[in-house]
Amino acid sequence: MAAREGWGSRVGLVLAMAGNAVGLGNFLRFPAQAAQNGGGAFLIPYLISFLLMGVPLLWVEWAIGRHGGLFGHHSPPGMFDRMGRQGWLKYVGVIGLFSCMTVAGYYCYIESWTLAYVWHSLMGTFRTQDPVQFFPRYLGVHQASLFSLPLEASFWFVLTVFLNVWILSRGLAKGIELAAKIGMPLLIVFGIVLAVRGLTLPTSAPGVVQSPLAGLNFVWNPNLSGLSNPSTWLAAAGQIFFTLSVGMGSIHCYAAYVKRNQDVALNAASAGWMNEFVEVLLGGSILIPIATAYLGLEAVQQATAGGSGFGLGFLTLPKLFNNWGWFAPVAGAMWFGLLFFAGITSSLAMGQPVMAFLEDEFHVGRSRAALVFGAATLVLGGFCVWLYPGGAFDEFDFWTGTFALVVFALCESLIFAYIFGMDRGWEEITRGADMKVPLFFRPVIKYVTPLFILAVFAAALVKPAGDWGGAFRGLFSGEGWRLAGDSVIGKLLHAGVTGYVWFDDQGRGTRYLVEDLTRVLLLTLLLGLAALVWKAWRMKGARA
Amino acid sequence: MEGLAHEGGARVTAAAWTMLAVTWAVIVFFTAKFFWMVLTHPHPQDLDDTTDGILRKDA
Repeated sequence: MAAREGWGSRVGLVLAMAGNAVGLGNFLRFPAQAAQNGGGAFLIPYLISFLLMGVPLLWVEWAIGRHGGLFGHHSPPGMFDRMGRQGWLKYVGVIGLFSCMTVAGYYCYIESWTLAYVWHSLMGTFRTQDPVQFFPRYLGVHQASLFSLPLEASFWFVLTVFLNVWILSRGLAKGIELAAKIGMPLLIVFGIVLAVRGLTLPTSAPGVVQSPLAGLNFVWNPNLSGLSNPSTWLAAAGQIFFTLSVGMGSIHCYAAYVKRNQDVALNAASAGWMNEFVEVLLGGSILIPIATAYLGLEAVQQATAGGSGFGLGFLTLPKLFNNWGWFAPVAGAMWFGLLFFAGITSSLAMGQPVMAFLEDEFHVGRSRAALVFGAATLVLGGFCVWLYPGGAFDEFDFWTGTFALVVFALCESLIFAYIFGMDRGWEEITRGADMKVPLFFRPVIKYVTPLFILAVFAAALVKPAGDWGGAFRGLFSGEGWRLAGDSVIGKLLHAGVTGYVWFDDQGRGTRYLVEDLTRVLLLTLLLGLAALVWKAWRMKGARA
Repeated sequence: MEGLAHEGGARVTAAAWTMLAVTWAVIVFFTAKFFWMVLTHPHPQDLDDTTDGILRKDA
């Protein structure tokens, strides 16, 4: 076996891990979630979730990763195989591998949008074209079809995948670490510049209809009654879960390159808090204050009602920057540039576990493994590109970027505490630690964290149509439980859908055909990866 | 919106400022503290019991 790769420096490792966590959701999802779930009061369950679920889960994943790395495994199947004697453990790891591979497909597509928008911002496209019309045309959804072949979007997507493959092929220290060392500081600088510029916009400036501080107030004004609403707590736990990039196998993979007696506790804490810095301080200070200044609070409240700032970020902000004169192209490039850096540092983290699996279990060379990852991303992402109007993208996001993550995290927290065992687990977390890990976290990891994830999982499973409080009242008053269309069971049963057919009267495929085809593709891929793991272990058995 | 005096209001309520200040202070403190500890404790290179960190007997 060749000497394994390693990180060039500890700072590089922490920045890469923080870059893995920091994603588009830090800037587009967090402020909308906070504003719509109690404002400043949202931060109370948010920080509690961070301490009781986020940080413990980070320690668990770092510990699993470093432990697996000691046995030459840098991807989840091998790591989980080493956590106990049960043969099925490696198949739990398949879920992590599956998430990395599939999320990378559609995530690279979103990442490519940000790169394209950097270009168009610098070229002044949004001075002459309204982003509201530009965006659907860019995606090819204006053709009123289930399929599209958007040439420009395809070009930027291929370019983005190529960039990812190129960086990954350069290795950990010269590729991923260098990208994080460049990307993370730039992201923070861009964020600070935009936040300061946005928050200091005078009400007398051209186009400004309201003080940006009204937007800041929208995000931070505490509505304490929200604390008694289960929706607020679930939203906060969900936001913490998804912002930290846990439940994917990417943290495990990066940690697997840490040596036996090197710290994981402080590294994990540092990367986790850095993510919070970017999310709360920068994410909460850019999008909503700037949009409020130019659109007014009411419009922003409506735009973020669904708990996402995606529309504001891609459709509204590029136009609003036009009010900033000569600085407009720079501001646009900075906004989409920081989103791009947030995206690429995350997609690289999804690529590495896939490559590590091929390298460790099938002895594929690094460059070839990077090419295989690129090819898989092109195929899976291409499916999302071409069937975007039919809903393939949303299906990928739901099943791989949401559901699979929660399932994997729930499994790993239970396996860590009850199969690997808390004695070994605690020793693994604290060995070589450069910080004192409070003993308080030991029972938290064993009991509280799994319960938190279980709550997130159950909430995803049976999310009601409407408010949680109202749903429980309805249940106890005999009205039953009305499932939301975006709950797991609701999705499976097509809840709330009328006219569920694959082909319409004219024999044309419907959106439901695309949705079900996407599900079949994803399930086939999951089973295919499980078969690869089975084959790899069979080959190992034959060699032994 | 509760706390805003009028539509064009620029007021951030005292409660909002308090939440913002406390949350920012906590996050800045821990981010700076832990990152400083990382900066001042580079990983030791020679603590492993094997040359490359892999436990070969099990690999």
